[in-house]
Amino acid sequence: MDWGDFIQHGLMRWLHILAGVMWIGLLYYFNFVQVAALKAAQADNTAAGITKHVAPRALVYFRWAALVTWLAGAGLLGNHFLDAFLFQQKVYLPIGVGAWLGTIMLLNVWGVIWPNQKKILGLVQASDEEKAKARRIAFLASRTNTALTLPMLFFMSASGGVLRTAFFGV
Amino acid sequence: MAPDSPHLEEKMKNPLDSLWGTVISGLVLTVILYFIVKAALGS
Repeated sequence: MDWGDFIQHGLMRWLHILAGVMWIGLLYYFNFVQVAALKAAQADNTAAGITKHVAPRALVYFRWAALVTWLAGAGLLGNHFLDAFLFQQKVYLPIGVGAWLGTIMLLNVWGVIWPNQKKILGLVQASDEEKAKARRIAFLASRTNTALTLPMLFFMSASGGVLRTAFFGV
Repeated sequence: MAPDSPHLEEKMKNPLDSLWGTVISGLVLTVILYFIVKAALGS
């Protein structure tokens, strides 16, 4: 058994999928469930249950799962990391697009969503006006990532095997 | 109509404000990127 190959193509793929399910699952939870739930909860003064106890916990798993997903994906690409990211070979073009979309999403999580969520959750000092602005920015960044999951997951799943041949003919 | 007219602003909505708008935006982007990649591959 080639242990290097097993770790790169076996364990890294498994970890990439596991962490990816957690990341995108929580992203869908925020967008498909929590946004509407918060609106309803604010109407009957029960929003604190979500903002104090659910959202902070979900955000911990969300942002770390995003990082683990990206690192495992990079490990899975291995020597072909630059082939994918720099579109150096035709066969790596579909996964390259998926990898770029995932990278944009990761930067969105750590560079936009999390810094703004810290203001919303009161982890850093912010005025009411700054909190309102942070809420809008975090919301739009989260919705952008939700929209990006559609092409990202398409290119990830259609980047190898029979699906790549079926969709792209390479 | 001036671009900063409140009337125009009323009509312009961000598709990301609704879930359906978000999903449709994602689908449209998927189709656009698919054809770009397909053309780049010459297939």
